[in-house]
Amino acid sequence: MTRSVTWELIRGGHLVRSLRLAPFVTGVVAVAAFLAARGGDTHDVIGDLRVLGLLLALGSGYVLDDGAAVTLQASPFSLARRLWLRIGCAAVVFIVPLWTAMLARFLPSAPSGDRWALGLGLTAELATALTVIWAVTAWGRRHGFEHPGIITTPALLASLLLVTSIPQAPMLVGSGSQWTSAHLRWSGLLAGAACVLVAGMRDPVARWRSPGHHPNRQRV
Amino acid sequence: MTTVDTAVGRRLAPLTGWEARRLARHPVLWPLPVVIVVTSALDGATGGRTIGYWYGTIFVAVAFFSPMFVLFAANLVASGARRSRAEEMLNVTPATDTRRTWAMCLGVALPPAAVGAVAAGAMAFIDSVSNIPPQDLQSAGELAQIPFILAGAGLLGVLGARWLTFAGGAVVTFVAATLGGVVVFGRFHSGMWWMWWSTGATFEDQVRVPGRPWLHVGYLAGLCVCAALAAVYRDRAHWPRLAAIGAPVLAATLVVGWFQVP
Repeated sequence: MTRSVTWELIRGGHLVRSLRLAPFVTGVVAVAAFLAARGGDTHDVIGDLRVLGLLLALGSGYVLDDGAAVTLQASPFSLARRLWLRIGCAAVVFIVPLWTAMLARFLPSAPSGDRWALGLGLTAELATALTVIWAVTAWGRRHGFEHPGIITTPALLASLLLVTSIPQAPMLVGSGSQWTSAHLRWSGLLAGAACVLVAGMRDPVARWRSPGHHPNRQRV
Repeated sequence: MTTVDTAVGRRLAPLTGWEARRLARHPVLWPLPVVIVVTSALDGATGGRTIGYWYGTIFVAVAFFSPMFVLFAANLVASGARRSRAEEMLNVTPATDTRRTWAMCLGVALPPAAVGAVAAGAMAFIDSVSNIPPQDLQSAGELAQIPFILAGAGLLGVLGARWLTFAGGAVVTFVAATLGGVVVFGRFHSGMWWMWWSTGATFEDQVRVPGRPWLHVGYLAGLCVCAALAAVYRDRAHWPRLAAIGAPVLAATLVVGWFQVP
């Protein structure tokens, strides 16, 4: 049943229509304006891809805002499944195609030996930023914010400012000897944010129970 | 409705105070001291934490970190009634929408401006008791810009909340004001003088262009008034008044802006 509901949401276009499109459009327009302002100049691969990734992340902060969330709370389609579905939809429709196109445009300007490392590293940075804002959103929802997307931008900015302020553990490094260690730290942050996101997606009334226990089963 | 109710509704000061309290208590501002303290604590400070270091830290805190958070906090405060669907209830209160928006503008502009003035005073005091390196030293005109930068961030937040009522309006305002400003004004020689920012610090690889900092203060003040007028006279019924009052103010602002660069 669950799979058929998911398929019906995708096939009927309800899922895409339920997403807030204005932030995505904002992100796309900002990306286009930035590329136009650069005028075809792709020599600053890392700096430009970081700015474009930030714009994509800012546009994706409203993915978990759902106007029908209150109505859907009573449905058997679990909270985590609904949220993952929205994230997956945004990733497939918006984030992955745009990011792939940007990598394809900028990476050929990088030295051939560094392309894979740069692409993977910058993708890890984007994935971390996205996971952080979705974790913030998931916990915002859990604490009663009806539409927590609006707090994702200041949350992301504050996180970036804090993370990049540690001189002993530089994060926004250029291509070179520090690239791998910096991106191991990014990956660590990504893993931590993913754990917070998964925890924030759990149904607030769900509790860990022993397999044999059922709340409605009474001992006679 | 009694006369007392109407009088209270017409007075701007209580409403302004209420909006200022809402801004000061807003959770989006809570990370700001954490960001400032942590970034300054973890800063390498290669030259040591000298008096000049604190001079620069105060400037970065009030001219760089604070405006970003004030913009979002002001946007959330200004859009609170719409998001909680309380506008219908507010429309039947003695205070009109115009008066409430004036109070909102004053409430989100004056406290940050006061903080900016205190910070500028602290920087001037540090300069008076210690020798700040000439390349870091800011003139009186440059220090006077700080309150208008902070007030402008709050007014931009209100402006975005009033005009961009869709989800993501705050992001549009932020991206347009920061990245848009840097990209657009970075493309010509005297661009930094037209930005809603301090002329005491350059960005990216911009070369410092000489100009008149006090006129930049007037330019920033003019932008603040323009933003407040555009926020207050948002409704279509007020557009003639917006054009009648706003156009001369905008023209005066642009003239001042024109004369700030020799």
